[in-house]
Amino acid sequence: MPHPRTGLSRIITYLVLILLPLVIVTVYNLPPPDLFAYNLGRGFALLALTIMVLQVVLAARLKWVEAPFGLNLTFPFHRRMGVFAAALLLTHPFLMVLGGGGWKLLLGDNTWYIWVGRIALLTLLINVALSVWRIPLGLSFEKWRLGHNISGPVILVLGFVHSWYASVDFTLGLMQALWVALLVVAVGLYCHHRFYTPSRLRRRPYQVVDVRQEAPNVWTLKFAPPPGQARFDFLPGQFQFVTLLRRRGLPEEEHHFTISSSPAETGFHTSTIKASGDFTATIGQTRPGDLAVIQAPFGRFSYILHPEARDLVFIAGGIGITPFMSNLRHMRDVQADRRVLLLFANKTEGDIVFREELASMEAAGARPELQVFHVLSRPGETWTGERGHLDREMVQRLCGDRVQSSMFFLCCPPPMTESLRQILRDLGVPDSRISFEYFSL
Amino acid sequence: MEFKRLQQVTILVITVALTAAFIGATWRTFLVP
Repeated sequence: MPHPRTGLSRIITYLVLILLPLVIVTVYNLPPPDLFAYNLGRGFALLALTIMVLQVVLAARLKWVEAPFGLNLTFPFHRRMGVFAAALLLTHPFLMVLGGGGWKLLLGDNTWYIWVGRIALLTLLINVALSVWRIPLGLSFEKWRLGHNISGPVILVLGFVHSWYASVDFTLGLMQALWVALLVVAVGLYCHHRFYTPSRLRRRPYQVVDVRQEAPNVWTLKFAPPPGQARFDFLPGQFQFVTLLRRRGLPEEEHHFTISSSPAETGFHTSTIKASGDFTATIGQTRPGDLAVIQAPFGRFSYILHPEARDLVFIAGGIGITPFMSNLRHMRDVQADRRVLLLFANKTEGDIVFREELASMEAAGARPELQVFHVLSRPGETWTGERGHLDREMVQRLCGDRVQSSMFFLCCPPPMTESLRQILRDLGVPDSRISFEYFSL
Repeated sequence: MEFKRLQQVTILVITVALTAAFIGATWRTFLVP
């Protein structure tokens, strides 16, 4: 699968598709009432519903959509477009009222398809609110996802039924054909993503062949492909979706984990996972022989995609070291001629994973040319390395003149990533030289 | 241009501008190489 640098063709396709129904309505100059606000309300609803259809495309982990951006971008974009569509649909009934539809449209009209529209809008608003405020509301990811996956298609179908019967736009055959085609594509993609792909992957699961403890709460799982099947190809730094089938009463949930091994090592791959949540707290109970349903690879957090950058600065926070291990191991395996500075922040000395391996990679004359600085926020008395947090002074001091030309890669908890992005911008590093990966999608 | 079509074109322009502004602002937030 190629990894194009820009997704211009995808962006243009997206814009054309979401605006297509409105363009058709404009070209065919569909009928009265000639009331501006009323027709604007109709236009907003048309746009919003088309955006809702394409939400399925954005969420379906399609390689063609994901490749130039990474799920790190397409998922937040999906979330924002959901908010945009909800805002458009919230204004839709009010514009219709103000434009001459009358207040009865909001409360007094008991036509069944108006009620269908009200229910669709209410479900959408609840869906968006739970998505935006899931963490403050204390809703678990698994419960939220279940609700999201059920309510999404319900909203789409209700919206389609409402628009089909309520709007004059659908007296036009072309609009009817377009609407049916969009609905078929959305439902087809949803079924492919939610049912067909999981079922296909589940028939050929990978196997856990080794479980190694790296630190008190960090484990590396080693996966082997099913017999007779080659391991999937991936770029260093990419990630995978994994569902562990462990039985023994352990949760069977899909989670995404960075691949920590090098793609140059054939026949297996690894993920290094920290026990930090309800599910990952059980990672240490995984045993060799357990099966794993794997969908991969995803992401663009790879030095391979930056062939022009010889000087690289990797900044890792805690378990954020894992994509860098994959990148560094691959550079070592292919003897890549790169100069890498790694700033590795942890709380305590005991939290540092892969310390010995990183030290061995630093050996003089080795490729890549690696220099590592460990930074501890809660160091012991005997610690002689960097102390404190990666603030502007420390970044500037440790990076020196690398700030001028290096490509920066950040993989840290979100607040640290945002802080470092700002620090780098303040130091004059353009966004084009900063690549970052969030822990969560 | 007749009034009805002018109105519909205006609605299209407003909607395109709104969408472009929103997507543009969103994209800047996530701008990465």
